[in-house]
Amino acid sequence: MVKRSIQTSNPGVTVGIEYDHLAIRAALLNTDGRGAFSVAKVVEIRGEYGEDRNLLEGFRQVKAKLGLSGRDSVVTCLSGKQVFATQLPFRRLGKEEMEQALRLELRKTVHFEVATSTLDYQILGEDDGSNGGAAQVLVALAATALLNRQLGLLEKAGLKVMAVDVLPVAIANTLWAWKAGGESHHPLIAVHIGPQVSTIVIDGEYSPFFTRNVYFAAEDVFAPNANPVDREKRIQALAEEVSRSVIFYEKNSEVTGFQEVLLLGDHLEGAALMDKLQRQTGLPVQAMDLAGKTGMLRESQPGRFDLAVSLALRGEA
Amino acid sequence: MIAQPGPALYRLNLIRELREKEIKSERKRRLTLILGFGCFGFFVLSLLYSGMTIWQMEGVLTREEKKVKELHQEYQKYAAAKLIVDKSDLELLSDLQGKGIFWTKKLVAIAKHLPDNYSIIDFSYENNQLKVSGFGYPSPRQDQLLVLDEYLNKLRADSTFSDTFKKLQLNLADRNADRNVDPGRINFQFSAVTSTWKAQ
Repeated sequence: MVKRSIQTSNPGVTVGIEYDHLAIRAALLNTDGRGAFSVAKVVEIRGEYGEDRNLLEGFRQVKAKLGLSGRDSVVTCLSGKQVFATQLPFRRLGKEEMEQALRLELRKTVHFEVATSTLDYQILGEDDGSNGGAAQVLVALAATALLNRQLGLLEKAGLKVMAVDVLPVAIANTLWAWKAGGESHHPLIAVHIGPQVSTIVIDGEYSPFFTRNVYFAAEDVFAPNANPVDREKRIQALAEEVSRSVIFYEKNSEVTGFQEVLLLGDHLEGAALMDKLQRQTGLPVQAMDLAGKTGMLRESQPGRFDLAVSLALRGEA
Repeated sequence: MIAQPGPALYRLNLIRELREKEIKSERKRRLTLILGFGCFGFFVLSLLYSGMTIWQMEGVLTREEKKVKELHQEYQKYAAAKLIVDKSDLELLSDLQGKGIFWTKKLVAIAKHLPDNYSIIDFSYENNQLKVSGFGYPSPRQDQLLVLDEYLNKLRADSTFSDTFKKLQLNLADRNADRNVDPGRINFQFSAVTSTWKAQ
């Protein structure tokens, strides 16, 4: 079962933009339309982006720094509590029926209002037969208000948004981009460290997509004036959560043989987090560096721009 | 710039429908624009074609009006000179051209084929019938009937004569009744009629 479609971006420029309340990160990619790409530029603008006004200004600065025009395609992602993604076996239906049925199904598990959310799904391939011939479906859901807010700000800043992803799926794409799209017989683990919440994503070619949010206030933990004992405890707690998630995944999907734990996001400079994770999971841990991998060594900062690069990589489809 | 093949990734997009609608709307707008321009172009071409046709028709009208004016002027000129040709004149001219008999040619044919020792003494033309009378002196073989018959056959064969007179017949061929005066003379008469001749 091949879960992912083949990349067919249009030739030109694609921009990936992701942000949290402390920074906006963007990556500019040149694509030739035949599958080849190169990271042309990455930008990080730090600030206080809790308010729309500041965020709008930040987006405008990104546009100016990358020299974007209103015609360049921008891909972004939504994150937070009102965002959800999952993979589930589901019988194939017509487009309208499928969306309605998925909404009904998600109401059982999603903790925010499904009716006022925007949904998209991707059929990954036929099931192996254990679920009565149903297809494996990857579903993303986000509150429409959150989507409209982000879309409105980006468009107000003069950016043409062509695709909006959700953070867990964007992290999974980062994993596959890191593996250069090659098939992997064993599941991959990625941990995105955000300022307030960290996101664990496990995905494999022959095992389901899994995601989980862990409350881990990285901005406090890695603050210069943070208590070292408290920091140690919190990092340990995160490592245990990652370990528990891996065990849960193993039991539920009956798949094992994890290759490594890949880290992305901010606050990856210290060795403490990697040590704890390695000790707790027993797996090698390393920070991703998609920009560096594509030869952009000058601005290479492991983990920091990987999400933005993978957003640009997935293109506008 | 280092380039490498792009990986296969998940392609979820929360604004897919929105963008698809926009693309459809854009296509529709372009189609409407193209159709609009097409219709306008067709309209302009129709106008040009109509204009050209009207212009050509006006040209024809002007030429015809000029001709009528010239004819009117010509008529006025004739009217002033009282040289009006009426219907009866035209009918007379047609009659003269179509139905007239060119007698010179006929008389030449009658004279040309006339046998030796034979003479024409009288001819008349009335009611589309030509009557020719004459006399002659037969040879010692007394073959006057054969000679006259041959003479009539020659006239029948001569197109300058037979084009008008389709039928010829010998009416009379006998010896002179007065035996004291020129007893060897044979008098003859034949008649020829045109195609419009009717027996009375």
